[in-house]
Amino acid sequence: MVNVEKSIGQEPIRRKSRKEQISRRRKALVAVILTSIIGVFALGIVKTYELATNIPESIESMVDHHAFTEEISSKAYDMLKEVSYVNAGIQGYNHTSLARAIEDQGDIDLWLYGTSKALENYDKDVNYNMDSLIFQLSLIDENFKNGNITNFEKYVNSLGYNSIDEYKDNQINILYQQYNNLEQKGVSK
Amino acid sequence: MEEIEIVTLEDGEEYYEVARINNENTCYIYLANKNNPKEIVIRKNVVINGEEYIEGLKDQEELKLAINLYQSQNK
Repeated sequence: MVNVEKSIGQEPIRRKSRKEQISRRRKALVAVILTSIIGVFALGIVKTYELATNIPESIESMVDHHAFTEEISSKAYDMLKEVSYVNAGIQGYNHTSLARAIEDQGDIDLWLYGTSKALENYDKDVNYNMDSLIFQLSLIDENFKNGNITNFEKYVNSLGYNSIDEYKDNQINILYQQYNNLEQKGVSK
Repeated sequence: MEEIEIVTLEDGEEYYEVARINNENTCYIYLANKNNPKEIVIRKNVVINGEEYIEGLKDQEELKLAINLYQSQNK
């Protein structure tokens, strides 16, 4: 992947270089890697900017629409944002063999590429799972309003999870399952 | 066999200089880590008082520019 930290902001250093003989094949291979990584990264970086603008706005309006209590509102926002990104990544993964290949190599750019691909299906697919999560959060919120829940962490503990992070992981796994089910039924692409 | 330029960055690692693109008096260099070619670093090659230096990009915008330049030349 493109190492952003090593690319941006470094002070000038004296160029220390030497020439080395390498095989033509190895040189070609490195060039191919560069091209493929930059292609995926560029697509991801541009689309992630779009996501950063579009998805949070969309989530914010959903959270506002449901008039959640203040306590659940911020948590709902954070959770929805995280899940929507992961969900978007999942869809990109499912839709592209290239992303599969990248994931096999354990490359984080999968998510960048996945999110960009998912934008193409954002209205149709992502909202399906978002609605499901909104419903769950509505239930949680209802319990907050009724006074049945006073602490989000305690609530997830009561569901059998040790932490909010564990709860979120579980939600993400559910989304994976939902998406796989949709794909098997041929509902999704 | 072919010859390739290898540069050493401040992290002590060696990088292949895989590509070089000049754009409006700026020379972008595209480096692949010699031990892990999947790690790509993009820098600028600058000349100060006749000596060559390697400098980091200014910000994300310049990174995007460098990426776009590479893409447009390798379609």
